[in-house]
Amino acid sequence: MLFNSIEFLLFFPLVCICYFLIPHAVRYIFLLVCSYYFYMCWNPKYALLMLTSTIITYLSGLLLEMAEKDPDEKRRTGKKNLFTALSFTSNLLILFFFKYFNFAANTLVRVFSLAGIHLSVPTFDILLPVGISFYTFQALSYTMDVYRREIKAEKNFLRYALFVSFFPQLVAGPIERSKNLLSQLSERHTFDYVRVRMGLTRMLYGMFQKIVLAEYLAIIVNNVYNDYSSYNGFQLMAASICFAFQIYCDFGSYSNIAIGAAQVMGFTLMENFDTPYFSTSVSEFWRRWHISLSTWFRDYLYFPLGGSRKGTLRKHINRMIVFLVSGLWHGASGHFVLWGFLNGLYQVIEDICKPLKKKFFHGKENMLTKLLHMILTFILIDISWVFFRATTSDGIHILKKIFTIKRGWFGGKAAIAGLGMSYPMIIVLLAALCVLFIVDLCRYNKMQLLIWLDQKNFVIRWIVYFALIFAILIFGIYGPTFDASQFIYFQF
Amino acid sequence: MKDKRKDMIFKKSVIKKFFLLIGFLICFCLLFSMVQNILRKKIRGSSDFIHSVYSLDKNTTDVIFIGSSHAYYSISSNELWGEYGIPATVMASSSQAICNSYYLLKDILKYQKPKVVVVETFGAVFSNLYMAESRMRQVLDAMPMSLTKLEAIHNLCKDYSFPHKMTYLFPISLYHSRWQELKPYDFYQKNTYLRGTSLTFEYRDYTAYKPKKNKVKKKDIFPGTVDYLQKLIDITRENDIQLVFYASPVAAYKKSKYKSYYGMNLSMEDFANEHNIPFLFMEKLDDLNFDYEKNFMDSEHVNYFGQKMITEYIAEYLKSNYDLPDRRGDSRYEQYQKDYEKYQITLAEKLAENPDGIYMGRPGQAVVEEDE
Repeated sequence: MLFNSIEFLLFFPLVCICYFLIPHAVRYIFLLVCSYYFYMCWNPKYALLMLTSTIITYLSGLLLEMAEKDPDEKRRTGKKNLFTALSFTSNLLILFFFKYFNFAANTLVRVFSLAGIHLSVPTFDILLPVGISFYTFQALSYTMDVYRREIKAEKNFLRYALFVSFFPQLVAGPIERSKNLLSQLSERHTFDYVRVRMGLTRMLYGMFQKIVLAEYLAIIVNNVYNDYSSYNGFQLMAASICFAFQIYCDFGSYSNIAIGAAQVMGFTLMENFDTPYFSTSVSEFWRRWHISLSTWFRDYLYFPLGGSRKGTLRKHINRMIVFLVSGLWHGASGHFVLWGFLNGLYQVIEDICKPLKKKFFHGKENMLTKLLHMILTFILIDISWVFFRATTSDGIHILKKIFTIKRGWFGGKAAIAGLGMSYPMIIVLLAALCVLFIVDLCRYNKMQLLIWLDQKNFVIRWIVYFALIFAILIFGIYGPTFDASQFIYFQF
Repeated sequence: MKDKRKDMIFKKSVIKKFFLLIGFLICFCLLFSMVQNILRKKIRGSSDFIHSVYSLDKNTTDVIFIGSSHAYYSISSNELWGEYGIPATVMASSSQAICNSYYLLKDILKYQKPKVVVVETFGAVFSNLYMAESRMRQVLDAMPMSLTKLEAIHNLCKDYSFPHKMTYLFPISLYHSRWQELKPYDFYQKNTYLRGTSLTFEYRDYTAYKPKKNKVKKKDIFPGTVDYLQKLIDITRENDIQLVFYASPVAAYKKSKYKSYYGMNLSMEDFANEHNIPFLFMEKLDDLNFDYEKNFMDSEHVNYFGQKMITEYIAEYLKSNYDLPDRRGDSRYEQYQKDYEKYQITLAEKLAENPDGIYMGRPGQAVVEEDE
């Protein structure tokens, strides 16, 4: 069930009404049923996979807690390591089979064929279960948190199952931590008019981001990228810039809807995006982009690898490992790995150049230098996005065309018209991008727009609500003539 | 005391929030229906009368015509008013099936109390319940939200998926991309003075295609359509309304199409006789001598001259068979008079330009039909 579908438009209010009407004691069971129904709308069979992950990590938590009671330290550590390893191995094996098996098999065949050996490895025509990477990582974080004794193991299986399957953030995050979400599942949430209103406003903004912004940008991106050889340098550059915003709006919108939906019911999910394109460095960008995943890798991969504690070289290697894995997490394909590699490399170079930067700017930055850094960061990130959207060889061709400035690079008005959008649509897109810029600028300057809006009188609030609702209804891309596009991050 | 005050303040705040919520929902519904109506694709462009009918003053129509394009080409409600003082409304749309006519009539009866309903029979010719979804949409999309609309969607869209059904309930999902192509008539009604009918002077010579009916066999009416014909009879009887069927003439240009239409009308004749409903089968009437050279706009639709003949015939029939008072001069029907005056001006201009109509060439040449 997509957030931008008529089914969700009926499902969500119904769930909320029932949630607040039924007794507190059974609410988590009700939410669990709703979450599984939500997930099974894609493919009922894949709910079994999620259930398997849930059972494994639930048991690992109980076993870890039992092992904790063992007085013998050596045995205790051994048991704990074993249970954690079992939980990780079994979960990652499921993930590997469904997401990476074909990729690994093809890579193996290619490597061997380079050496003249022709292998025949069977591939499976399997559909990637929606959100498998998200809920697997969320479940694994629980095992790790119990292992580290940061939380106690959850005894109530149904409550734990809800933690893994909580529908607002189930298929595309934010990847929640047990420390944050699990405890909230036992809390009593009453109907709070202001909180509900703010949650709904956030959801509405998320819908606007998806249905208007992301979908408009997708028209240009799909048009150009699907037949990139027919487009000139300017058009490819425009499409690449559009893709940077498309993926931000697409993914950001999901997070906003998820956080807003959870807020309506009284849950606080972690923030996933914090004005990433205002970053002045790539490392800052990664502190602001997909925060729940970045911090997951930081806590459960970068730190265990030693982080920055084992010297500069090790730090750089660790960072590269994290970003290569992150690339692979995003997709079982070489171009995702290249995308991760580039982002890791940027940060390593940034780190190496830090003393130089300090010397050059004397640690002081004015508005202009800040702006230049933002632009430079955006360019670097956008170059990496090219490999996120296109395959490696296509990406190289696209970048070559963008950076080879020769006659015909721009193409004038015809090039703009050739992007696949009518002029009225371009005007709507630019206006929507202005809204995005204003919202992000406020957030960047620590202005809480939702709270600000909530303090205004109802006339101003209603104007904002109606503006958003009717912008979606009139200008949005939806309905039967529109092939209900999924959120980009569902495939991960 | 303090607690009581607190309690009062809390109650007041809850009541305020409740009324704000209701106010918000009302404003939303009003804005939504306004925007939806603007974005909706208008039937036959600027002469989108079929649904402007909802904005007529209550109970100001004595005769309602429903049916397909055959109806809006063959009837002139202005002539009915101007010559006979009959306030009539034509609620016809392209290839309107009988099932659609039924729900349209059922809905409009909440606003109008006609004495007679005249159903044009082309809608019974289809071998399914309706010809095409696009034609059904012309009837259902603009119908205001009501139980009748829900019933129509429920009964006519049985095979559609849930999201597909929802597009009937909220047509904005289908038409919202029209924001780029809106015309002035999307914002305000235009050309409604024709009151749902067409005024065309074009003609083609169909003399060579004058029908020879003797060899045409009866064609069964689709059973689902028969059910809806029965429903039409029931609803008119329940509301004490006289029901009349009529079939406008066509030229036998496309033989199979003609046979199908004529054969269906033969069955329709039996059905009408069986249920004691008058059926005005125009092609069979000796009083009407259609000129196949100048009375047809295309093979299936008459032009102004054919329309005038049919309108006069039906008006005379209605006047002599039913109690239809002359409403001219009654202030409640002022709009009919205004529309008629406008119609007369247009008519006079057109007739002055082309007193014998506009010759459009032989049959088979490209026909530029009105937007259906």
